[in-house]
Amino acid sequence: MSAILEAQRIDFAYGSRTVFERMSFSVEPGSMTAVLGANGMGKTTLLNMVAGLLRPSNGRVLVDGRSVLDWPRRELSRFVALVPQHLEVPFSFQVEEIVSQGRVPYAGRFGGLSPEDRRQVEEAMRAVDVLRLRDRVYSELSGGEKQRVKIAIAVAQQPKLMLLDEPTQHLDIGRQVEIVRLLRSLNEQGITILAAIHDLAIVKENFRKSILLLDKACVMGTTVEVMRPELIEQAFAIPQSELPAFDDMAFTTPESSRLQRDCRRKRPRSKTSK
Amino acid sequence: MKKPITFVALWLALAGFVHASRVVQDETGRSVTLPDRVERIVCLTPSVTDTVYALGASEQIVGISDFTMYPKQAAREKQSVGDILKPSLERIYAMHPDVVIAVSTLNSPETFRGLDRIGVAYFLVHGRGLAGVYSSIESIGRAIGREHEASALLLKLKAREQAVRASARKRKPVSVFLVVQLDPCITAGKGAFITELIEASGAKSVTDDLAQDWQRVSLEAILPRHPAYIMLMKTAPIELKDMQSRVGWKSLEAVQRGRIIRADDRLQSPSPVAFDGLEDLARTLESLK
Amino acid sequence: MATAAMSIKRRPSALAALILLSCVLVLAILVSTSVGAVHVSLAEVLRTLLHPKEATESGVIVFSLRLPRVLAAALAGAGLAATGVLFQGLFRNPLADPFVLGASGGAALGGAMAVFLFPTVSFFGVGASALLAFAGALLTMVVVWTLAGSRSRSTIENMLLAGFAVGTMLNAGTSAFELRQEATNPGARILASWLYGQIGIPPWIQLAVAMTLMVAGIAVAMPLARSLNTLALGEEYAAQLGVKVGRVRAEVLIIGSLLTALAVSLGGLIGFVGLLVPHFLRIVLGPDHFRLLPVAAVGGAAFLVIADTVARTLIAPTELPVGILTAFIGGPAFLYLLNRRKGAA
Repeated sequence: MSAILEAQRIDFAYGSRTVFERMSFSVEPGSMTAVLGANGMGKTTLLNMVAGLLRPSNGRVLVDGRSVLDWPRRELSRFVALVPQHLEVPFSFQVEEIVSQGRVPYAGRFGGLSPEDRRQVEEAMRAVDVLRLRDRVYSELSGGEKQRVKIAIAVAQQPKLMLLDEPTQHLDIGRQVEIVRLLRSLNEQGITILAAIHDLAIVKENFRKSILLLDKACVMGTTVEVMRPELIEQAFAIPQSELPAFDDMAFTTPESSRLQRDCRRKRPRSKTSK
Repeated sequence: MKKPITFVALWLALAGFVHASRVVQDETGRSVTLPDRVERIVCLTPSVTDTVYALGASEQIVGISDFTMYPKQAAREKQSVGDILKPSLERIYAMHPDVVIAVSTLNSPETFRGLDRIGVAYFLVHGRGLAGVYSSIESIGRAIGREHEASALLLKLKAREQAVRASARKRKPVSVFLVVQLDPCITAGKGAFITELIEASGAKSVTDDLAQDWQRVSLEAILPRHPAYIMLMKTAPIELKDMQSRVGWKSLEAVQRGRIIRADDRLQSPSPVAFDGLEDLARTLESLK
Repeated sequence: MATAAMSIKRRPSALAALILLSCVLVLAILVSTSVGAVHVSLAEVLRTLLHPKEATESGVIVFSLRLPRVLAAALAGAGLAATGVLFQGLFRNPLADPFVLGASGGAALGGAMAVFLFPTVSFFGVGASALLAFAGALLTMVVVWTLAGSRSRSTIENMLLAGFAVGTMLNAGTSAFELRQEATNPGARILASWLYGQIGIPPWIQLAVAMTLMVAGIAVAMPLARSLNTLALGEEYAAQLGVKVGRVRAEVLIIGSLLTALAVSLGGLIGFVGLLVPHFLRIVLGPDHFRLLPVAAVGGAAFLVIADTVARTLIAPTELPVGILTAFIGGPAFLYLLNRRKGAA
């Protein structure tokens, strides 16, 4: 099966700070893939690039076999939905008005909502269980409720690929579980999920595939493969003694950990050379 | 309320047919169509009002402007149409004037546009200085059909001016510094009407070279000019002690010696009444000896 | 915690609000036309309007003096309130009023330059003054947007400070123009009445042109108002949903500047109308810009007609420039809003 999303040797930099260098990965349709990585490794950048908001300086991002830059914008918005980490809305917009924005990629010339649009908005709110909040003012909602509304916008876009940036951050454990269940059910309905997630335990239990961002490059594979302690240690720069104990993971040998430390030492040098 | 107006309107319409009209040129070169006999006049500045009174046509005045001081009875006798800048066009219209007399440099173009729009004839005078007063008298006389009165008045006023100048020539001119306002200090410049009258009365304004009519000056610019006298308007709320207590002002010799001249407010009205002020000022200067 | 009182269950229909405010506007225009130095009863006003051909005395007063001014107030109010809605949507901030942001000042400076540099072209008609007023407003908005609107620094402080700085420069520039002229110069007079926010008596042709441009501007802005709803989610989010953010921004700035320039050429610097009217309508109708825009235009028209009527009767026979009145009402309202937002932030 061909990949729904594929990055081919992409380069990206913010000014002089290189984020990605000849990075490649691919995501299978129908999968639920986590994007892992330390802060500043480029998780948000990666998602924005897939959503067409940022363009790589070299290489290509293919969505459904076509370069993101070649997609007509509105068509891409119907295929890929991005749920950003933060959404603050001025004025007292109500939840239904916010979720309706998910239909903008489908709107006609003058931007009105068709009956079909209204039905889809209602469906999206039901699917994400925010129907009871429809008349509430968005800015007055709790963190978990806001997270659901954001996902409802994406659902209203009827995407094939949904990108989520830290959907479980700043939520209590109960709300985290709810969101993850929601993502699984969306995935079961056929939406490919690509989510940047901090919490390794959540990833391990719910995401079969993972992409681990290392310095300027990435490792991808099944979550079990990617979560090898030496990789995790390198990616997050955790001292070995504080590595979370995963029962099915082998502990690193002294040699391999020395190797990783060498890798880390090299990093500053490569940065100064830039 | 309505019936008399309708009646007046009818009467005016009839009058329009009965009376022949004539075309006169105003001082800005506009051709103004006026009835042969001007019966109803609105004066849009105090100086115009004074001039029309002086021409003996006070009976014909139906409206004047706010703050008209001269002649004294004008404000009592006549209804005002509002201030110089924004008179009420509605009131003017309701007065059915044959002509509105205004000053092109003083009244606002917006008012003139409004008069155009409601179809009320207006006659503009333009002049500045004493020459302007004379020409205004002549023009207004022509506009309201009082040419003879205008010539007589002109002769009389010119004679009065000559008399003042003649007596002034016998005196040594004294330098004066006119203070219109103390803080910030505002004085009159070259173009101001009062500067010309000061000169005519046999004094010399130390600020008669300033470009603007009314100009802010710094005291530093005045000190080296050594005015012999400070001139204040009679109604100005400025006292000698105000100046004596101020840094800078104290160093003016005129202030130190308490040399103050009080000038008549009529000097500021470019109309016949100014000649009373001129003679008054000449007498004050005479008494300085 | 979530009580029903916290949210507005069903918002009133925008169409109903539009009809209601249109009635208020028509009534306000009639009453305002009957008020003035010369008594003309409401019945006479109506009779005059129904039989415009009859050349009666009240006919001249109504058609030549009062109605143009009342309609000028209505158009200026509509333009300012509509611009308020557009700029508030663009800046994502309820305090973005054309006066506060300096757009009005820019239009006044542009208009002033035209009055002094090309006085013969036209004073109030669709001459150099109107064009330069538009250019002035647009240039100001581009500068203010660059300084404060871009997403990295879109704070209230930045927006207000940029508006304040630009507005002060423009006012100083306008005053400098004024100083260069004698006080008796016609240009200086026009400028003075602009700075106070005094509604003039425009020629009918100017009213017709202003009305046409305003209706066209608001009509073109209607689809933009929908995009502004999406922009409320943030520029990136809107871009992700397929909104052409740069284009929407440019169009909003152009139309807002056009409406501001029209309002300024009719009534000068009238502050806070673009703040007050959208704010109160937002409380009633909710924040949807598409619903808000036409209602705010009609509401702004009615508001300014009423305010101007009050201003010219409050201390009659002296007419208070309506800009002074709106500043007295709008200033405190602005401070209240500013304080509330700071408390919430």
